[in-house]
Amino acid sequence: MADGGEKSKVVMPPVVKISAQQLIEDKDHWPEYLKIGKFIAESGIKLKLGSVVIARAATIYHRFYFLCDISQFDRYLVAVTCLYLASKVEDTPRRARDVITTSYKVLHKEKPILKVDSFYWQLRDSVVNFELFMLRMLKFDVSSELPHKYLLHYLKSLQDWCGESNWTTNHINQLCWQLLQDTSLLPFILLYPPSVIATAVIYLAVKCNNIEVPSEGSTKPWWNVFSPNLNEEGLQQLCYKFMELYDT
Amino acid sequence: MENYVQVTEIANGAYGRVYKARDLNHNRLVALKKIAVINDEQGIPISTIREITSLKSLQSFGHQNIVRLYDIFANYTVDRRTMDLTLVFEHVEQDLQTYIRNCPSAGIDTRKIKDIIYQIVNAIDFLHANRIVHRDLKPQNVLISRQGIVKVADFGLAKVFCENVPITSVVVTLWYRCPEVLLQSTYATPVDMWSVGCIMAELYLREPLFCGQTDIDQLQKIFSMTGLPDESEWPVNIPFSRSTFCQYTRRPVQYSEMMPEICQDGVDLLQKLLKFNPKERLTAEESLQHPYFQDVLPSEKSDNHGDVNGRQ
Repeated sequence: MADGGEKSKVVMPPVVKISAQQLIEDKDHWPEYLKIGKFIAESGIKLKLGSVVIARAATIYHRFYFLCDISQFDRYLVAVTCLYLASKVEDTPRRARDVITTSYKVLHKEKPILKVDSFYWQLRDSVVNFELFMLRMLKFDVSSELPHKYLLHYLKSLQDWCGESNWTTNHINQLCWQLLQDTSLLPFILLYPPSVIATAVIYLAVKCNNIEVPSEGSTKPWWNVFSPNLNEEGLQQLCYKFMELYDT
Repeated sequence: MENYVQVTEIANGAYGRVYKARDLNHNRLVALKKIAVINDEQGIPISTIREITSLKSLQSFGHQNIVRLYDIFANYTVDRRTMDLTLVFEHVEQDLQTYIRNCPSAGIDTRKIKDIIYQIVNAIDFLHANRIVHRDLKPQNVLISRQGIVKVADFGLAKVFCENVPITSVVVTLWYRCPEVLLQSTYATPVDMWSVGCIMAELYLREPLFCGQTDIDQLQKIFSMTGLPDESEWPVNIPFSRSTFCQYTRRPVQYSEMMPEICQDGVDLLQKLLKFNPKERLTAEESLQHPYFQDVLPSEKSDNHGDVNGRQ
């Protein structure tokens, strides 16, 4: 997928296999990794897929990346297949042809639109075959929980608790949703429960806007209502990681 | 695959074969269910992906009345147009059909019947709470262990099956199918509760309640027992008109006459499960609260949603 059909042998740089934890810790690995995430997001948006589907595709990518030796595969083929598979998993299927032509255009902005010729059929066979391969490798475990529904529930509770005006004038909901979308570019979901990611996103948004969440005599800080075992230090560390995304 | 040694063929069902096998890694018996799935130009059908993944995600709850799915394999067949999917389930000794067939001539103890039905309803309640409709509940896929634990199997697969190629010519049984499905009307979770009603009656009768050979025959068998529903209850936009069945005048059968052992609460529950109108049929959740189950031991009730893994 990366450089068209003419590609035969490209010498890959030696790849050191790292864990998801190492990737998150070492920012040097980020630019290479984020390139694929952004490709998934851009292709997904052009295919009019929603945030959840794009996050689903990214999550499948993370899982596959750290499960397999990714250097054995064309990462763009992996990414396109993730998108195609995610659209099915989330019940908003896109035709294989739309997924392939759209993502091809995103990858090769200077080239003309992909025609349905033998090269297209090769790509399609690759995606369809790779879909089965991924499902086999991931053992059909492709619908794990995402933080999105947690975020919606938490935001609703907090909005009721804090009063709506405070919330809407600062566009907290939109900010959180966007933050969550951006965090899905890195494999946080492999390291933290979805509820913790959702809580951290809200924590960051609330701090950025200097909003004080009233405790009304409760001894528990608000985030412990959602994630009982979470301390503030852990939350802050996660938020620092989120913010580093924006310096990359 | 090499970690499983096939022992015997258990069943050759309408949509695939089931084998008993030994799992060498864990030294346990498993049931291998093989299905052929179409792999067409759009890849694996969306229904297959969605059903299998939801099946997989349900496992984390560890509900005791749901059969365990241990693993899944997928392989291409030679022509690459279809794909062989092997689902590895826990092996349970007996199914309810065999259980009914092998019961002593005096019948099944009524307390035992209640216990079995309670566990089935409990499983269905769990599936429905997780937005899964079984669609094909019948004694053959209600398993019962030596300890008397009921485990519902094959849920959620009905759709995977019906959109793919039947690989044998075995006919799918209609006996537990509800009127709205037979009439090709819209349907939802109440379909399973109809099947529960049929199974409950079968436990008392020791033979199936409605044994139709065709869709129409099945409907006639149902109406001859429940009476023909009123015009107002007849679904709209279906290919069958009510007048087709007008010889079945309303003459509700007395369940207590057919099943001398059933108690009054049992008759009431059965009537509410075998309602023609799916909206009037009891839900699984409501059924669990029915007086019929009042004397089910609290220990049997404790695991209501089987949330043993403590999901967040």
